[in-house]
Amino acid sequence: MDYPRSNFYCDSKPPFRDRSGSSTAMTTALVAYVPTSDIPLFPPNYFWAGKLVYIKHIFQTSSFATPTAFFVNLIFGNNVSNTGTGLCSAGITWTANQSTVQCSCDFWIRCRTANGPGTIGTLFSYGVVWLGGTGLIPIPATGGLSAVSFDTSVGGYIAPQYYRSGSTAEVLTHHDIFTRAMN
Amino acid sequence: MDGPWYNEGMPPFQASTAPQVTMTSSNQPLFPNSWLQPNRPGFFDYVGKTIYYKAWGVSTTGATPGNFNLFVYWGNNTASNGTQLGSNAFTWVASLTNVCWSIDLYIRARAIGVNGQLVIYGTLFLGQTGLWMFPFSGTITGVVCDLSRANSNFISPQVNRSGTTAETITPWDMYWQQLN
Repeated sequence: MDYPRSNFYCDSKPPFRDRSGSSTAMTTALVAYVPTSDIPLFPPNYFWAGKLVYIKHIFQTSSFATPTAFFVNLIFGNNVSNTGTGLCSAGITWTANQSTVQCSCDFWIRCRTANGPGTIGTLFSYGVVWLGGTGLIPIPATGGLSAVSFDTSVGGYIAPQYYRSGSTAEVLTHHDIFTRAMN
Repeated sequence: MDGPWYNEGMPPFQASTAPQVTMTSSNQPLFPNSWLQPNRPGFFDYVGKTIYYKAWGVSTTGATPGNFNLFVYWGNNTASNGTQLGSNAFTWVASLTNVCWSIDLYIRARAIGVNGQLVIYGTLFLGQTGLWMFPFSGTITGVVCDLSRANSNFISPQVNRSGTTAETITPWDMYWQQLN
């Protein structure tokens, strides 16, 4: 109800989640824990320069004796494990022996260039990961983030994937995710 | 789809990184005017009107940064101009390089017109340093501002540091939303 109206409504994007996933073992490679049925498909030529999308992921983890580090990557692609274009990432030293703690990730994906259909555009992404019992860190934690190139003519999913660098059988349970078009 | 009180993204929409600010002991605007909401007289035109502001970037500290100070003004976005809506300060960790930070602020009109009032609150997060409420302590009270159609101003975040080294802060991205 702006004055005057901008008409850049913030829209929630279906599908809307109605159940948690099952507990899944983590490995030392990226795994797509979020089912494809839970996330929207961004069609070709969806993004325009300045377009902003927000994603929130709620999940639960358990760490054991030697989790070492927890890693998160936001991936643009077909939502297959360890496949696609990495948009932003972070690693956090993971506190051992945290049983069924709640966690969340927040991501913002901003299109910086999209010079018309069928061209190479760039996405600039950042966020924050909050691991219960461990801490809150920005994504990326440090460094000058660069915009990542993508083919505007190819649609895809945008979802987080996770792994751990240690040697014990940490687990992750996907609870909820939602996506919003911010403008 | 509950009613007409849509959230709306508020232009301008950014597609680049803002200029780096080399901090001093005096206030400096965090963003150029072109990044802020354009002056819109009478924007806060009903009690309860709320906007949300998020900014994200990186910062680098030297040996003696002292405190990081964030101020938000209702003014023309020049140094320390206008009415201060709120502020926060925290001890800044030295010798951090390109560490990410974020600012989340909510600004709500509690009264409108010539004797309008704005209240501000939110959080400030700096990697490897901490997470703070904004303001950190004290009562949150409405600050008297001229919100009439005869007056136009920016919501202007400004920063300084109390130390002696050349800290820098680079905003990567920011956006405004009206929440109702």
